[in-house]
Amino acid sequence: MAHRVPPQPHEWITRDRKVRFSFEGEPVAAYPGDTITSALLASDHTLLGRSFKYHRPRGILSAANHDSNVLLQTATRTNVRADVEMPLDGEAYTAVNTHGGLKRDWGQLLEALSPVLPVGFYYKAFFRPRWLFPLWERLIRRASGLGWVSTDFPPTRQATHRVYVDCLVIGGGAAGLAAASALLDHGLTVIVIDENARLGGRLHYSRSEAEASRDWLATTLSRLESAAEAELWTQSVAVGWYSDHEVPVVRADGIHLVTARAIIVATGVIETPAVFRNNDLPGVMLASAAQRLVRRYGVAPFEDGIVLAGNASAYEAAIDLKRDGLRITTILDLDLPTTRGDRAVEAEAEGIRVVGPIKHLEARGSRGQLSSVTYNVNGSAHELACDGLLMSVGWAPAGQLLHQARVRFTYDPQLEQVLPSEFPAGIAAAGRVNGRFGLAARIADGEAAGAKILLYFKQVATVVAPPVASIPQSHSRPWFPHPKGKNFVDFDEDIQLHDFSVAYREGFDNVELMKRYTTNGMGPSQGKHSNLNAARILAELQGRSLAEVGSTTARPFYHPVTMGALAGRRLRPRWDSALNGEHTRAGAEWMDAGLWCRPKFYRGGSDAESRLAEYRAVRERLGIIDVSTLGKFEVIGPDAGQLLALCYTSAVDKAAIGMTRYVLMCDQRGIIVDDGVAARIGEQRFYVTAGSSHAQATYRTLTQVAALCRLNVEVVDITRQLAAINIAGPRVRGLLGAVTSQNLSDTSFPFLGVRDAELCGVPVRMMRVGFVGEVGYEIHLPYTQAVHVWRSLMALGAADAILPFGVETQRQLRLEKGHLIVAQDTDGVTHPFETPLAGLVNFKKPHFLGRAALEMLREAPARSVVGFETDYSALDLPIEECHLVVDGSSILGRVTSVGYSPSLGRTIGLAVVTHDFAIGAQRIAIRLTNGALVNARIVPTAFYDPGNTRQQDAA
Amino acid sequence: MKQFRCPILGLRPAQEFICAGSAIEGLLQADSAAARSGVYFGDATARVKREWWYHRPSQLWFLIERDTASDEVMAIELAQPVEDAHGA
Repeated sequence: MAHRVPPQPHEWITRDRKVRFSFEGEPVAAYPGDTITSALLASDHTLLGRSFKYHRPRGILSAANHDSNVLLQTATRTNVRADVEMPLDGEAYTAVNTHGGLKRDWGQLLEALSPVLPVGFYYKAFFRPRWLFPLWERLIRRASGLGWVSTDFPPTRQATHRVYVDCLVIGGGAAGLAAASALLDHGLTVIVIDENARLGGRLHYSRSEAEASRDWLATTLSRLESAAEAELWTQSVAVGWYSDHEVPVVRADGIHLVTARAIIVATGVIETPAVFRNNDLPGVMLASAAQRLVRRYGVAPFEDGIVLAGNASAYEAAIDLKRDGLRITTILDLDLPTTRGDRAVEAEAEGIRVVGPIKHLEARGSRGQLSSVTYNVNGSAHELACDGLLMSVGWAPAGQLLHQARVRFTYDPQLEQVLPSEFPAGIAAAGRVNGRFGLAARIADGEAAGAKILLYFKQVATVVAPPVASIPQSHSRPWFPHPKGKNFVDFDEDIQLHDFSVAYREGFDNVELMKRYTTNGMGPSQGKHSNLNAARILAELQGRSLAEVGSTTARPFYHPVTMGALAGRRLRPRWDSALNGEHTRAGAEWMDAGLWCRPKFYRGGSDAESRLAEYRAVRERLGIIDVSTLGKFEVIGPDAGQLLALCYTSAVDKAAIGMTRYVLMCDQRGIIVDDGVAARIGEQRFYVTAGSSHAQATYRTLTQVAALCRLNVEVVDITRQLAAINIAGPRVRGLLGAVTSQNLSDTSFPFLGVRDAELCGVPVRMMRVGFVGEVGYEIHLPYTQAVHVWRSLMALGAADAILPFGVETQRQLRLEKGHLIVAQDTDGVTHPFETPLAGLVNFKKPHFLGRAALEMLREAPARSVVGFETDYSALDLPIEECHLVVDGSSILGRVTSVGYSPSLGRTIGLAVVTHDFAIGAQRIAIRLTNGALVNARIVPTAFYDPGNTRQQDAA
Repeated sequence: MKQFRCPILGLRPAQEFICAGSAIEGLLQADSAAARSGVYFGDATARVKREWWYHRPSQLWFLIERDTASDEVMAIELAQPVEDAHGA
């Protein structure tokens, strides 16, 4: 049984106090410094989780952040990694992915079905008969997934920190610390990160190395701790590598985006399991897991241990563990023990029996716990009772970050490991990931990596790299086939040895295809323990070398990252109109409009009443709207007209001084991207407006074209320096006449004219626009004067019952005029020849944005924007934007704008339909949300006042 | 994160920029057919390219010569020299 052992020399726990938590409802006590797993093992909980697919009992595997079968759930958190997280006092933990609790999980019944659930079964089943799929989907969704997400979590956000450093050292073991130490005193800043609670890596959990390195570690750590230029981060995981050495590091307080000028990767190696029947029973674990448990937490995970050896380091582990006080009776070697040289002799001298080469290894269990192992040696079968089987057969380099950093790897057949071979500038590797295994070699390799980086920084240094380890550290074939299977390669996804043969036979014979078909490496540990074995198995199936088979790509993130850490702190800029306070006081209902928010309408009575009142105010008396969100640009210089003629489709440069033009901007595919008004203020001076949400892009285009064509022009973005107010209605001239000296008659200030004038004592620019279909003036004025002018106009207009109107009323008014709104009535493929705006394209100009594409698009427009009307009244209007225009079963287009017109007494709208249909069509059929069809008449798009008579001087 | 060493802004992260490629250069092409082909059949091969990048905080355009295969920047310059913009 698992139990706590007497205090260990450098254990990470403090035994003077207890932390109490519960696991699956049972109370558990831990010492401060314990992980959840170590505390559970100390009180003999060996069943810690259930496997993903067959719900088999699982226990400790690595104790190194790769135990994906021991994920826990609390009320607020899920997939808590028990092998590395410390328990919180009073917290209640349960295992994820169980039905009816961990001990009596009825999900284990699924294992009986395993013969009919071969690899890839879900690709072959479940889609026939089709009508059953919804049932399968429900079942699969319930069965899949691990923990559940509480949507009732406390809404805290973690800031993303940005950190800049000269050299980032990833991995705080012997090599990493030696490398960081070599960088000190050279005027360089250094950060060392490690995922463990303490620095030192293997120097803590290997007894022999701890003894050999005690002085070195103490000296090196104190040197680094006292160095002003060095920072040491523990419990920090580097999860990816991005361009220019940007490494996201996940810490308790969120993500730290570390941008380094150079990085040293000393991430070490990950111990990989052997593959044999029942290799997943609780009690079967990696040898390094047992070492971590006993030396860090003073926990013996078993009573009677056997070591399964596939390399020389297995013998070291066995001897170390025995000296740590654990009972290790036997070493079962996959090869002939004599090939291990002195190691086998040392082990026997320590009182450990050494047996090998073994065949037909199998673990046996009783009540979900390892009870014995059976094997053959020299042709005879044996069975040994044990409750701990420690696998030490090989190591997979933790080279994911190096792969992402485009370091090339080559396979070293001597070492049975891939090694980094070609490095881009400013990156080095050290330690076991770099093929240096012995303590002295790792320290020397770290120093060499430090020297390489010093040379990169053009400092004086000498690189003396130790040789790569000369004996294999990993076994090339650590698996035992068994007719009844249950010899697991991937513990996350319950992938067994024969699954690979099946996948290979069915044609998934490439490493990437096999990964996706078998799902090997696609679980929470992302193949950290399984990918190397999978690649070796595939190499054998293919009869090729591991180097030829290659490996799957390790993308960021290397390790799971919580959504909370990724979300960061949300900082969104917001632009406020000068008049927002006025709108709030007037009862505005707000809507988002890009970075701005705008009044949708002002609440007076019911929603419909409020909108109708605003509408009537504009049509019958006076309405006023804040249009400060428009993009506003001054375009000044000898080439100002030329710039606008290049960016817009029409001959803007031909506009007369004092007049405005409605302008259209296309991109180079001829697609309409923006519209606006260009006002000619002088020979070399224009004032241009742009759509609220496209203003920044329009500014980019104007300045880009100016730079491309080397034009002598300056474009000044004054979008937020100016406010803008549109005031419109039959009585507008009477009102404005009282506050400005500008003559407002048609002769002095014609329709579409622009005038700089004084209004309410403020210098303003006024443009006569007809967007809403009444006489109207767009008044552009300094931001700081906007409130004064708005209030003056509101006070003066009170006699005419002036009302402010919102975006919805504005859209209604312009719809009656048939004016398109770019991005509402047009989409990502609409060009001018599909709209009533074709006349704005002037091919006489040799160059303008979109010209080449438009020449072609003109010939055969695919669609047309048409106007339609129906007899529906305001109350029973069933047509909505995006309802389809249909002909039988074929889709002809969709409604882009629709609304009831009080002035016309009918419903009107715009729709985009296929061009062929639009020619000569009289009616369209619109399909409503409920599937019913309604008919509408096609009519010209200028629904209201088509002759623009309302823009003329009152008689 | 990619960083650009700008001639007047110093070292800036790529996320402050918008990459606009080099499509704009078709604007001045005299032959419509060639310009169209540039729009619809642009060269997507990975190689050294001259791209337009817009720096949002400063509202400036830069021309960046970059190997799109290795993401290595060869040269970076203002698209329009500052003195030009002031009409000098």
